Amino acid sequence: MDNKQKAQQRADQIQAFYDEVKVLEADRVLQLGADQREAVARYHEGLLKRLTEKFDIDTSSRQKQLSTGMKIASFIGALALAASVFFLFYQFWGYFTTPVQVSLLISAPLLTLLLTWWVSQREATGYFARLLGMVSFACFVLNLVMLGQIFNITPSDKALLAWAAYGFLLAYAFDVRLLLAMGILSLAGFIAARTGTWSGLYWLSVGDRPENFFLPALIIFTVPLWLRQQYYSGFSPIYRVFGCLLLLIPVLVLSNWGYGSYLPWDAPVIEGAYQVLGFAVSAGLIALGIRRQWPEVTNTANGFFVLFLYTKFFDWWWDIMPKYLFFLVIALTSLLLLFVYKRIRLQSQLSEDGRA
Amino acid sequence: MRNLLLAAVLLVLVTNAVVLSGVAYNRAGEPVISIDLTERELTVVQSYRSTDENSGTALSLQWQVPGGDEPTVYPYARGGSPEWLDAAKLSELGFTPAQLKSDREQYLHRWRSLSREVVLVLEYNGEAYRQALLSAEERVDQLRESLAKSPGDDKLAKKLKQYEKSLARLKVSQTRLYVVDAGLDAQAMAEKYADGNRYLLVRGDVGLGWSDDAVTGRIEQVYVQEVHVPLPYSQQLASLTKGKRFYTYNAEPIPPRYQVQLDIGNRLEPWVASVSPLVQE
Repeated sequence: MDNKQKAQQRADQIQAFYDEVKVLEADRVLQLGADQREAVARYHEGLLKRLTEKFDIDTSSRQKQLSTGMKIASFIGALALAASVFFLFYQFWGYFTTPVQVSLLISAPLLTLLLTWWVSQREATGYFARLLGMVSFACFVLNLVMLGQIFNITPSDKALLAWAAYGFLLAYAFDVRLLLAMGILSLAGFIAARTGTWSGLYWLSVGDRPENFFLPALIIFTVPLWLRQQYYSGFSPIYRVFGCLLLLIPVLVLSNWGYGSYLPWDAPVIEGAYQVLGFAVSAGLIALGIRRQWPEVTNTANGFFVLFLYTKFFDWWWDIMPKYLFFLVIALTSLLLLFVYKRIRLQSQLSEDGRA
Repeated sequence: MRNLLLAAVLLVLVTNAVVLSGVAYNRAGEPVISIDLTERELTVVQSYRSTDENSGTALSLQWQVPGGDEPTVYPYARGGSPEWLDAAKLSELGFTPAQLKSDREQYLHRWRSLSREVVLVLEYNGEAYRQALLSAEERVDQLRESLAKSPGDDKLAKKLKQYEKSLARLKVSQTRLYVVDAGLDAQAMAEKYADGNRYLLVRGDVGLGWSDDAVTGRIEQVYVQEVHVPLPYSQQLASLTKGKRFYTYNAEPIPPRYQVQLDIGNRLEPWVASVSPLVQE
């Protein structure tokens, strides 16, 4: 078993097996003998013990619910603690001399990194280590931002590259998806800013040209294809979701604001082209997600497909239609989409049955 | 995990070493420029909220572009199109304004990528300021003459009052830093404007604008807009200003209360070298 996610899937599978056996026995379809039952139970008991020791998985639905609560608390705690560190420094940094400020800024990410490692060695669930890892990342961001302010350094996009590297290193060291997301966003920002500067943009004006994000989107989406992520829980879906977002958000922006494009056409033509591209890309990603069994890609692309559709409806009809009619059209379109998805689902079920 | 952690520690140390060596290089040797500016040009950045939690002190660099014969209505307005930023200068900075000159559509879809990082020359208390003062005085004189000819004209009286206020600001509290030149070669610019206490060299952006069916140059921004004030200078500033905000738009303009020696290093990054009280100019 490579990672916690797969171990958890196996544990869920075992739980489902017992639930199904119970139903089959009640319906008198299956009757397991006592020695068979005992052998299977012994095997599962050993397996779950090993998996729990190694990955701290949830072996009951009650544990699972509590784990979800812990994940939410850890996520909020990580963000709040990072913000707290930032404001703590801001509140008192004016009372320190420059050498003290610099020492504090450099030691903060290192000390929190050490603390993260120490906690990770002592606490099996990893929640506290993840929370501290996020604080260490925030300290490194603060480190570079404040050094820039203290020494009046000309802002540089290279800071994004350093943050990306730190985010990735911590994410892989402590298996933290939130830090992976931070690393991905920093890397995307750096590549987009660099692409922008090659065409004459000041790097902080990177948002003026949404097309700058296409290259990072492609790179990030394909990372799991050339860098296997089997030892890390849920890293591949995070890469794919962020790849989709970095592609589809700029397309959505350009489909409504053609002046932001590099293309040498009139703005309405560019907007029209991106509207068509938006539908085509989201439909293509839905198909890819279904084919490769990437539910996160299907869901993200689904959301954008609907968004493209509704923004178009808004452009066409909001001003000319009575509001009741506009919302009725939206509702009818939703129903139509439901029928389409139902049909696709049925076809996929039939083809699976056919293969079986 | 051990290797990743080691790499993370190294990353933090190397990144900080690179940043600090850049700072050391900037401040090595004699400053490229050392200039004395007053509160008019470097105002303390203050939050408008009473519960500001930032204990740091920074000075905001106030600059403007020479702007014809009208007194500047918004003294803090940054950016603009000075006359000297003409087609020849734009070509020197690497633009090709002739290509875009007559094509508004082409301009509209390309202007965002048409900006250049340049070295901006800010003249302090020099010819540009004197010109601005002179034209503002002339304008006020003209308005006074017109009002003398038609004393009942309320609109004219109101306009005169506005221009007089603007002139008072220009004399007492408004910045005297004017962007007078731009170039690509920092060293050449430093040699050209070697008069240490008259010119300030900073990095910034020049972009293109569209005015009256023609492409014009535009000073977009200065990259380091705020200068951090370390201890003990921040304490000096606090005792000199006593928390009272310096605001160009005050009904009665406050004269500047301090002078700051601002040094500019090899990377054209500034730092505060000293702060001293300024009783009266």
